[in-house]
Amino acid sequence: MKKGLLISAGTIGGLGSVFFINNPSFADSSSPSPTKSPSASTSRTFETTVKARVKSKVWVNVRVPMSSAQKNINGKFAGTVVDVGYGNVQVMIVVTSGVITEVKALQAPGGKRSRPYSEYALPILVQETLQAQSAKIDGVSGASYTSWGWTTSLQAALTKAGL
Amino acid sequence: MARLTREIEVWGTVLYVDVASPDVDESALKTGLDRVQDFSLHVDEVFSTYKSESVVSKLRRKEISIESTSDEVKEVWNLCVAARDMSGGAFNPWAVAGGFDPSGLVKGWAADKCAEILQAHGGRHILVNAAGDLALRGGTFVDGVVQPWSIGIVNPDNRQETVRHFQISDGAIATSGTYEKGAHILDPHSGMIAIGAKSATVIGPNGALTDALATALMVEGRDGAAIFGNPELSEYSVWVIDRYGDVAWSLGPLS
Repeated sequence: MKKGLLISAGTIGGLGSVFFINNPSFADSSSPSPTKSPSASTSRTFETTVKARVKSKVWVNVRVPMSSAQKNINGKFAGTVVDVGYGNVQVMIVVTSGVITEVKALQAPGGKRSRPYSEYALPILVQETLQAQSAKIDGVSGASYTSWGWTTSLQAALTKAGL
Repeated sequence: MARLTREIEVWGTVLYVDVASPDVDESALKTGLDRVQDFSLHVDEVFSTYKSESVVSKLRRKEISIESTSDEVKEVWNLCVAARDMSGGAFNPWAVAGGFDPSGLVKGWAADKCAEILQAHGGRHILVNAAGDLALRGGTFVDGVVQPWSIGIVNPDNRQETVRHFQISDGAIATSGTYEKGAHILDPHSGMIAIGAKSATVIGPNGALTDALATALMVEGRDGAAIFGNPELSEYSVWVIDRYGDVAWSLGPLS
């Protein structure tokens, strides 16, 4: 492989384009969610769908509540436990007024060989999830980290939260 | 467009692979990933300095000579020679305690090989992330458009952040830094811990050389950017954050 480098003249999408906002629409938010307020389960709420890129090529559709009822989504939501082959990954999100304010790893590979890697990988994944500042990043040079188990568990947590 | 990703735990870290192709089906890509997995385990058996029976361990103990080894070991040996000479000795796998240690180059070399294996199985859009040393082929296919892969450089002062992004379709990128595993790079000239740079990134066509030269730049700091005046390295780009936080770079002609 002796192909030369091709570096694009400009970044595509730009680093700021974390969210792609679709046309707002009226949606029935009747899907059950553990900590939605009772009123939210029956109200028709004005909301819009955004695509948030949580990691690498994975996008999650996040319905952003526009009504006060939807903003009542609060609580902690644990994702599924994902076996990544060398240990388990489990993500928990903290949602405040419909916004993810905290992401934690409840479980991460902790074996003798995996621990240093987990200690290193998790802060990056937390950062990416929270800020999505690296929405356009496909990989990080100088860091060893994983994503698959994280993303899988995170999506489960988002679904559980009704986000 | 068939697409598969896989994480492989090997070399004491994780190898992450992303492969896509419009030409072959998923089963072909899966076979490619299986071969990559086999290869990565094989590399561990041959090149690990932690396995006493590896070829490299035997070389270190001088139980065998380089002439008696396989073509791939000779290839890595020769790349080490080239990297040592190009870097003016700042990368020197023979100047470490215990004898010849190609670890500073093998990950980047292996990432290239993994990408080639995937191409041989029909992969067109390929990212191989060998614990921060990446080999990239064919850009990435997003929403019907082929774009360069976007690679972040980790911030040496806050590894939760990235400090710069590079767009790369084909090539390799390696970053060496003081943040990972502590200060682990020795200055072969002095035998002391290298304090030349905080973080050094090299982009170029050859993964082994990007890996080795990123290590060399850690030793030389900003001054090491002069290495890239070497005509043989005209296709390479370098980006260094020195110990005072200043940056220096020398971007190749295609950047």
